[in-house]
Amino acid sequence: MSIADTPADPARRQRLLEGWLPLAQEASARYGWSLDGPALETLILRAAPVLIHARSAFDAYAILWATYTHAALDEPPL
Amino acid sequence: MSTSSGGTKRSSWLTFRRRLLLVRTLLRGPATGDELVATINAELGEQGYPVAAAAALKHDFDALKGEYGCAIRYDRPARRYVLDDLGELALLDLPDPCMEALAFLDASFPAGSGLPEHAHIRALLERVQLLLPPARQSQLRRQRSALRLRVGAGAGQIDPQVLELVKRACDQRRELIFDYLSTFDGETPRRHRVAPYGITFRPEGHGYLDATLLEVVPRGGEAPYAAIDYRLDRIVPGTVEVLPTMLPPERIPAPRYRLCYRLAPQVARRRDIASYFPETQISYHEDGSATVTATVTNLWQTRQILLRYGDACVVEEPPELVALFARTARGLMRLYP
Repeated sequence: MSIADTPADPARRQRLLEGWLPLAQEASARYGWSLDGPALETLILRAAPVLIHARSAFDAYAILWATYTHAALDEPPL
Repeated sequence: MSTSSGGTKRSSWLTFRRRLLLVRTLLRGPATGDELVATINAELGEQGYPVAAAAALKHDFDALKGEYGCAIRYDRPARRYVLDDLGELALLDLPDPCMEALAFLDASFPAGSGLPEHAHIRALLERVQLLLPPARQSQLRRQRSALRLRVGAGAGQIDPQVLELVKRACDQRRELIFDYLSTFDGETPRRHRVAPYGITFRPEGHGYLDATLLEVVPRGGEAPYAAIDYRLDRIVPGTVEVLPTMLPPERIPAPRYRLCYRLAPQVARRRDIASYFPETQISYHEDGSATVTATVTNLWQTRQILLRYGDACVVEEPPELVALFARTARGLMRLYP
């Protein structure tokens, strides 16, 4: 799984970002990341291959947190 | 004498061990008498229960209740024994920071909340609490943390089968059909045939299916081929079918709107405005206000998000969203003349 697996189709990409941005923004505020719009979009696209497996908001927060932490440590995506 | 004393000690120790095993087995969950005997005999072998075990089992229950204050009851409809309270055998205690952590989890995953997975977390917490002495259990109830994860609290219950079928349809890229009860449907759900693309979750805990509407019976106000976020807990359980029809390679584009809104200085002054929408761009002005532009497809969700700013936000574009806000404002005026 990698960022390359995220949708290239612009219609799907728009909806993916629109659907996840409120929760990603909340995660950024909650965990003190202070990410701006482009950084949040990058985070979502990076997490997208794993986010599709989320079964709850709790899962999604955990996936975003792990994705952000991997990126901050310059590790490959989940 | 010494042999007899040693034999008595050994017998007492075996009895104590058997009773502890009984409690340990019940901690895993309710069990029938036969299951309890089988588990204990598997562990203790010949030193477990005799062939006619019922009387010995009852004797052990009586001792656990009388000597240790355990609360064990027989659930007659289920024909199982249930451990309600460990009494003096509540041997787990925790340092205060761990008690705080437990209180935090307890508050974050309240009983009866949200999603099916939370039920397992709740069961785990209840087991751990059961192991605490009564005084520590009371402390935990008093201490319920004000700081909580706020996951799923307030979110409706998502039927596990609905979730499975929706995920399967997304994974297999096949059309999906289901009955759906929207906010505007009153008591009667309508049947929606959709192209499903994925599931998202919002901060308040609700889960949504992102789908393109193909057909709805009876028809309502939905635009043909609209991109809709269906709340998963409003899909009627037992009505979901994954259809054989495959989705086209590319998604039908939803109408996109350029969003533009202005935020008043009281929320923009600190220059830490949240980015809730794709392609967000923020321009700060000298008076402390800010203009935000973005691109959206879901005007209903956009309105919900921007309403959090109250009267500190003025929507300038698109006109369709301005009209939605005007309608909301008129509704509020009726409520608060």
